[in-house]
Amino acid sequence: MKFKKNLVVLLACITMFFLSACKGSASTSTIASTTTPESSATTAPLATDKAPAETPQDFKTFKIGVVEKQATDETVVRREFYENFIAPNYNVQFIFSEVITDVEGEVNFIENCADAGVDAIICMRGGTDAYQLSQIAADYGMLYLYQGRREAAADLFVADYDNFIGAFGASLPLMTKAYSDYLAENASDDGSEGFIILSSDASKGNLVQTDLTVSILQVLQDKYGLTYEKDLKTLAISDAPTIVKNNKDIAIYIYPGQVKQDGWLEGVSSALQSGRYGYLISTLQSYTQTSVVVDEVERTFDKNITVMSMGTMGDALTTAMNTMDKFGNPSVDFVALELTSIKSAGNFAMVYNALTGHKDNMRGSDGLMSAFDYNRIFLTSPEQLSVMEDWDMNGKWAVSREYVDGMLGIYHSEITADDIQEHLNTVTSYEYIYNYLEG
Amino acid sequence: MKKLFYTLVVPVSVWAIMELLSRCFAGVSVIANSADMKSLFRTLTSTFCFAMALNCNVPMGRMDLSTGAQMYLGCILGGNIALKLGFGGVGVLIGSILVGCLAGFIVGVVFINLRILSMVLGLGMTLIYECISFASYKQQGLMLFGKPGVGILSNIWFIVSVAAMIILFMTYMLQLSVFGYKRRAIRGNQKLAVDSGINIYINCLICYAMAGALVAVSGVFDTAFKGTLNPVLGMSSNNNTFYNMFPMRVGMFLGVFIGNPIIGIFASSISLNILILGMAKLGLDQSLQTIIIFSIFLFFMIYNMNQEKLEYNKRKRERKKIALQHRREMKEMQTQVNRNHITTGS
Repeated sequence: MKFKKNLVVLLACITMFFLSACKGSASTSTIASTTTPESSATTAPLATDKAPAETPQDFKTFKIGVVEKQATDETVVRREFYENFIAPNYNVQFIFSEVITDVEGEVNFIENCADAGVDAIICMRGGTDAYQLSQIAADYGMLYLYQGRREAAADLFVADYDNFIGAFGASLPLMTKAYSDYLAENASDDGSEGFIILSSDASKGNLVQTDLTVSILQVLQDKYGLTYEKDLKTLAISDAPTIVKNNKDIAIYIYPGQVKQDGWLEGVSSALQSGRYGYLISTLQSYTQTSVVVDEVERTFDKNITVMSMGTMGDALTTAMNTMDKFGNPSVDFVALELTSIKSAGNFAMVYNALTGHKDNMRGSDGLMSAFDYNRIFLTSPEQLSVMEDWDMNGKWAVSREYVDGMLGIYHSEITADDIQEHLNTVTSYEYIYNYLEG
Repeated sequence: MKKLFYTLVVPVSVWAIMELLSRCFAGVSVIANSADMKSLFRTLTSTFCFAMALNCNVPMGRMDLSTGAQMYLGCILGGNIALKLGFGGVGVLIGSILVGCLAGFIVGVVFINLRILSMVLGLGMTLIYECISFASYKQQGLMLFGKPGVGILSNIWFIVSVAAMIILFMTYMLQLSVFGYKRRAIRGNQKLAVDSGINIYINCLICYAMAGALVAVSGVFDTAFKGTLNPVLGMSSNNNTFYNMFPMRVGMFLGVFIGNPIIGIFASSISLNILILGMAKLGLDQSLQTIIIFSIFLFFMIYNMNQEKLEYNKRKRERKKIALQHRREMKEMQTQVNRNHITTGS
């Protein structure tokens, strides 16, 4: 009896420990500032005046909540960047969520952040419900930054609420050009190898993936002089696997869905095992999941499959680039790489400007808040990756303190949205970052 | 012969239907090449092991909802430890089995000591195990892609060997061993089993431990196919549990005719995976595939739950038929007697 009582008490303690360790949607509260944190603000940040300040230490310790939508290398790197680089340099604290995939989860996290005295939310989840979530953040006196394209949150820009900071997303023209150039250079002259396009959440309104799918179809159309039976947008947003019929009977297959969905990989595997496709073009990061099925199909049909994908720095990319298939090619041939530090620096700069009273500096010529773009860099060989392997890791960030400062209103009180975008555009290529980090 | 027929009838029927549909609408076979075969065996082994794990506890009245979380914990902790120690695919499998077995054992210990309802306990342990899996290894889970020595997990003969060993082991444990007899006795009437001297607690612990080991095997092969196993939170691991209820239930139903529930579950796992492969070949959307699978499951469960009523109605109709026939015969006899009476008695 005594044993059972003790066991019950022990288990209750363990349960409480784990529940508090993983409480709600806010998994950690990070105190990363070296200065004494001030008491939580009783004044809503929306009311921060524009009193000039010289340094971050002249302000209170701002708390910023980060909504994460996945647990990948990017999440880990971003956390390290914010905790080890941004927080000590700019007198801020960060609170990170667990993986959040729906509105309810994000609402729960925002409410938990409100209890913790958070001043602003960076939403990495994207999605089409930013309008609603921004309102919830406003109810708790928090600023809100949306990660994604302007078109996906158009209502928010038009409404121009006091707490809305703007949006931050990947630059599409550069990305589609890179995909286009690679296909133009490497795909065959007759398109006989066949193309599978993983359109991911294009059918659910993800504009980046929609536009990228449309661009890939456009590239193929231009290269091979194709006429499709349906328009590009209709094909791109189809919510079921679709054979793209064209006048030259080139095998093109659009496969929607997320990697983590049940049956997604089985469907991709099934399509590849038809032996009709030599290109696997992905609008999401999927090389880890598809590597085994691609390898098996290559061995079965003795046919090389070229894999193009999005990606981020980390173990998964290193493994993919250094794992060779039977033809001596890496498991992924082309990666549109996102350096997390560049993306995260831009997000932080926007939020920090709003918190320090420089929100209006980020308005565009139309008077509305701006949607800024960041650039990806593109990898096509393990040799490039071998140089980059330690980029964005262990303190070797692709951005410097000066780069971040260059976007902040506290150092440049007259900075404008165009200045910020121009500054973001300075990081444009592999060569640029190589020169900064290795030169 | 009869048992062989019952073993093969469902998988062969499913294959025939999907083959016909696949050839008519997609122009390809369900199993067109060795890559298809490998994919089928891999997913089949994963489904079979998970369904067998559920079979360890569910028929005993213990609806353990933590099996999915045990899978995550076993694979992530056991697999990563094995990789760090430099063991290959077999090491990953053994490490995952050991941790999975331990995870299941712990759930069993808690169950028999605290006497909490197994479903409620399962939910609680799911939360704990998911948190541990999530907090370990920087939330990256288990990545087998590109790791040295794990290629064996994708080797078809290795997969077949593991499946065969599990079938033999589980057949022995559940059908032929003393443990299996005791388990069936407990399932029949727990009180009588206790009164007859069977230690129901040890039996329960072994069931939980076996279930943990089996789900770990399932997770390893699934991870080998998908390249990575990312931890989940919010009881998302329960999806695996509910998904594999279907082959487990159908397998138990078939097992009545075959005389061996393990073979029944294997046959149902084959059937389900051929169905999924066929639907993938047809290019059906994932949500539509899920609707089809769970609709079939629902109809099967409705039939299964009402089987006795159907049998009763069938016997009633037969009795009625016999009664009516008897009545007709009696009437004819009476008519004949009356006729004779008229002929002779006037």
